[in-house]
Order: sequence, then structure tokens, then C-alpha cells
Amino acid sequence: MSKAPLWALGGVILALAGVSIWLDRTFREPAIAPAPNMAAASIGFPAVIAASFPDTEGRPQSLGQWQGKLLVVNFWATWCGPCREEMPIFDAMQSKYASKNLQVVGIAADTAAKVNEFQKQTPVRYPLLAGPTDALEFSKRLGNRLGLLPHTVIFGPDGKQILAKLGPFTQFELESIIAENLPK
Amino acid sequence: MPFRTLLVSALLAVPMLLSPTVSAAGAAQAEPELLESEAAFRFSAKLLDAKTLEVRFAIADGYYMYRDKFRFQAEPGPVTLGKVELPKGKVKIDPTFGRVETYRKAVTARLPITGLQPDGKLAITVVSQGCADAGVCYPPMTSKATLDLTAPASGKSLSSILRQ
Repeated sequence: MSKAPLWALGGVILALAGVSIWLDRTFREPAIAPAPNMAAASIGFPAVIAASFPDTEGRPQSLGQWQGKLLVVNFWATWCGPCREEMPIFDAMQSKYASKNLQVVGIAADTAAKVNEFQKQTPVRYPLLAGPTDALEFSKRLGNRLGLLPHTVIFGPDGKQILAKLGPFTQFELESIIAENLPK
Repeated sequence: MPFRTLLVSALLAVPMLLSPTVSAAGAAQAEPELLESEAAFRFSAKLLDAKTLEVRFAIADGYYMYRDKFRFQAEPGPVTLGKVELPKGKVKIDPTFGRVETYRKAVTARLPITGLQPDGKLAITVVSQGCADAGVCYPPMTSKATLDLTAPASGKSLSSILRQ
């Protein structure tokens, strides 16, 4: 191979690399900056791990018990169709990555009785907690200014917020984020 | 060769272009701006005659309301609501809830009322719930309207309605 085409090839690849880095930076930012329907969170990780919601048996469950894991907090409700459709994805992820320190937790804007009824029909392998009045308030403090569901906030093992999202994930989207942020 | 090193690092950087995070975050960026519930589902109420109150929700494009989520309540005491017949909605086979009826564009319901006094007030409370096609649902919304039959602005027409 003569020198000139090799240089050209190198140049093209370098340009591609530059574009890819630019794209990566450009498109990564919205994951951190609030999306149009989100406000800045008024509470941080200390308030998250201090929060506690009752499980379907009525026992208070502190979010702090999952500190150090990759924590996926999903706000949902039994009356929310898109939320229920999304739950098998969380279930699959919890099942697949439980041993790698992923913890999904569902906090319902519902009574424990409703959540219990739901769980009997549609069991999931991650804890479902109930906050009939305070789940939405808590979700709003995490930036969900319109109080819409589903709302999911992902915290890294170090407590840093990785992502906040309104609306359901696709499995590909969620798994990519999980795979990239699992505790090393 | 110096550019062999460059070549390797460049090749390593290329897959980032196709990395899942990029497409995931890219999708999040395309998220449409959602309306406040009061703007997505615009509520109004008016008295049609002494026995009928009309309640209406104008629904923004891309939003819908569930027929079985409507609840109506009238106050004060002497005023009672009869059985509310909601119009038929569009039947949708929901993967989660089975057969559901939803409304788009608008829904108007006529509420039969009894016990309305000519000089009284009527407070109506409507609980409703809707979602956006973007894949999110609004929490149950409470809308209220007070029709003051003695108020100077509306009193005349409402009082005359009551005398019909």
C-alpha cells in the first residue's frame, strides 16, 4: 500500500471518530439536563435514601437499604396503562442483573390494597411499595413537575442521578443504561 | 508507524457512534412537551335548564380520557345528581385493561339535577383521568365549578332558566 491512501484512510477514520465523540457528547447531555417535561429535582440522594414507603404487607421499606446498588426507582400506578405495560421490562432486568447489584423498586401512587391486588395477578420480582398520597409528591420533588406516570429515576452506586425519564422505557434503552452503570 | 496508533484509537472510538446510550438519550431528547392537565383536559360547566347541568371537557390533540374514570358530585345538600349517562367512547382493546372506552377531542355529559334553589349556588366536582399518546398518564384530576345563581353577571339568565 502506498503512503497517500493510508493517510487518507487514517484521516477519514479520525473524522469519523471526531463526529462520534461530538455526537456522544451532544446526545449524552439530555440524559443529565432536564428533559422538557422535567424540572430540576428539589431533593438529592440523601433525601432519596432517607425516604420510606410501605410494602404490600404494610411494612415500611427504606430506600436506603439499597444504597450502593444501581437503583432504579419507578413511579407507577395500577390505573396507568403505560406503567403496567412497562413493568415486565423492569422485572426482566431485575431478574437478569440482581446478582450484579441492580435494584429496581416500584413506588405506586396507589393504596397498598390496590398494589396487592395487582401483584397477585401480575407478580414481579422486585419490591412494590405503596404511597397513595406521597408517591406523586416524592416523584414531583424528583423533577416530575406535572406529576405524570410512569416516571423513573436511576441512581448510580455512588448516589449520582444517572437519568430521570417520563414515559416507558424500551428494554433496549433500559438495558443499555443498566449495563453501562452497574457497579464495577 | 505513528498513524497506526491513531488508526487503532480512531477505530476504537467509532463504535461510540452506534453505542446504545447515544440512541437512548437521543430518543429522550425527542420527547414532546406535555401540557398541564388543565390544558390537556379543559373543563367547563353550564346550566342548560333547571334540571340539567352540562359538563364538558375539551381534549387536546394527542390526549384521551377514560370513560370509566369519571366521578361527579354536586353540592350543597339539597342539590342531588341523578344517574349520569356518559356518551359512548371509542372502544379500545387495551393490552392492560382489556376493553376500555376512551374519549378524544371532547366529551360532553348532561347531568340530571334536582333540588336546585332559584337563589342558591351549585358546586359541581368532577374527577377524571386521562393520558397522552406520548405514553404517560395524568393522575386523577379534580375539576370544580361553582354556578352562583344570585351573582349579578350570570344570575339573571340562570334565574330565568330556573323559572322555565
